[in-house]
Amino acid sequence: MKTEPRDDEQTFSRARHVFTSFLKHRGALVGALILVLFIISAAGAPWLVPYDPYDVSAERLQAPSSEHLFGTDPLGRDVFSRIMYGGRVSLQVGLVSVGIAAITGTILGLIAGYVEGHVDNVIMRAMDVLLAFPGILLAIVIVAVLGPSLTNLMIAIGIASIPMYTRLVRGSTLAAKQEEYVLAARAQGMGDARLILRHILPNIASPIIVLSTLGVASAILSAAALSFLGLGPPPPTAEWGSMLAGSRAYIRRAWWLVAFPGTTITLCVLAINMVGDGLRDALDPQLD
Amino acid sequence: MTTYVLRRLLSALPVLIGVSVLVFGMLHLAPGDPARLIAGDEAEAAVLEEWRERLGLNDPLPTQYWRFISGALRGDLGHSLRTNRPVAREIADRIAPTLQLAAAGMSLAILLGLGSGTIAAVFHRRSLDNVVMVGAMLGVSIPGFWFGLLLIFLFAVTLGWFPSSGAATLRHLVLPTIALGVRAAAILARMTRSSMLEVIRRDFVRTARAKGLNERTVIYRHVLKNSLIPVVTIIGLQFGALLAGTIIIEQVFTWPGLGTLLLHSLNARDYPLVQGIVLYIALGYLAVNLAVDLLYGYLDPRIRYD
Repeated sequence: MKTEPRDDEQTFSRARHVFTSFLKHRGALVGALILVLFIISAAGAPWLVPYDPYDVSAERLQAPSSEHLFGTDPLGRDVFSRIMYGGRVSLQVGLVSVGIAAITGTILGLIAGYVEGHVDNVIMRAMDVLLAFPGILLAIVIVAVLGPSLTNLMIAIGIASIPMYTRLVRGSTLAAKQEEYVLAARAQGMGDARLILRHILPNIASPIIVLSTLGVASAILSAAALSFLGLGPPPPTAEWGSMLAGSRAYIRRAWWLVAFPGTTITLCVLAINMVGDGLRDALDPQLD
Repeated sequence: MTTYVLRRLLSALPVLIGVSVLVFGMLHLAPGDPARLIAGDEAEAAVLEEWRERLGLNDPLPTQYWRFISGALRGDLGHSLRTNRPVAREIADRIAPTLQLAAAGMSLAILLGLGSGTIAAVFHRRSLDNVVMVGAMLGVSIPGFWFGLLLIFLFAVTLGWFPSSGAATLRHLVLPTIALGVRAAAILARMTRSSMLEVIRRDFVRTARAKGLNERTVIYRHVLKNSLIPVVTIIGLQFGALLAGTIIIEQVFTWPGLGTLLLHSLNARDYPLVQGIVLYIALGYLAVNLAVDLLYGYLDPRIRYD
């Protein structure tokens, strides 16, 4: 009987198996590489940028050149430097909002799935209410109410993604509860809290990890869209979405204002999605 | 079947009430004073007070909520603070362009998504499959509003084939439809492909082939039909995402729809109008998902209504 499915040896061989199958996934490897570059450039931006991203100059709307790799914007600011700084915002929003959503959603889902009954009902109806606001609508309303800022952006995107995690974790918890090793542990008199932390949570972690990874990608997309609407961190903050919002008016004269920030968002999101897909294949949870 | 429909409708009721409470609560607890908005920044305290009284803002919140919800049930969503026109009228003026755009986007997504997903599954692990999957990966990673800007740059500014803004003719619909539909198309393509690959492995498909049916019949009649069930659910969910997506795409193409109206009224703190629009979108979304659930039962007779 499987009473301890996660003793050290098994955990180790499973981790190794996951790691090798991740490495075999070409897309995931490429994605991870690009992602590392993004992280380095975001973290090191203050030392790596060629120009101060907030420095207004007389060199307005310059086409890309060896001096200004991605050209300059209508205020004469260096687009390349602003994109590097924008990465700090995007990665931060991605990580923090997914953190908010995954932690809250996991706790709610564990409670709903473990306790069941009325508690489960109340939690899941509340999630249904949040889910009734499709896509980005809830985040838009929350930011508009709280006021546009970086913090509110992260809160809004975080809250809007809670239901996904709650539903996933609740479902997995309901299933895990019926597993023999959980029943056995309970029969031995293990308390609820320990049972959840030692047996249920580790065994439902894989799909949570995959969903969180893909969640970072969609959070970055949402953040860019909200900033594009003027609901992100206020100017002059360098943010990919708000850089694009300003580019619409210059689409005839300055293609580089449209091309580079958008390519950057796509590349970053693509990289994270490829890593997420690779993780999904490697961990192989039943997740669509 | 009737019991199921009734039950499903009843279960949507608490969600609707929750949505209305949430929308009402969020907007009324938000900073900003609608009375000041109407009366202007220089208004005297007495004038402000008069407006608050007239708008009913001095009543306790439950009273205000009750007024809002009982009015809504009678089709009266109040008046816009900015234009003083009935909210229902304001929405009615703007809903057609948004529905038109959402419907066009969804149709494109279904055609492109189901089509390319089927191709990918039929040509599994061959180059066509790879092309579709790479395209789908790009489709879920590209921001829709940026894709819209690219389309404007290429087809409006450079080639001049389509207009870049407005909603006067069918030609205006082309670019926003593509920008809006691409993400849903990519998601549907991935879903269709994986669902079909799962069905293709089943015994009844092998049987169908063994009895000499040609491949086309096998794919269309046996595989596609049976793989559509999970895809239909995704279509319902994607329709909601698409409705919300119009809010952003409308900005790119200055499309005179509900999304533009929503953003304007959010900026102006026009509470009644925001409440009305958000309720409308949520209601539409719930209705679509209800329809999907019913269709689900039709597609898969194994689902029993009890």
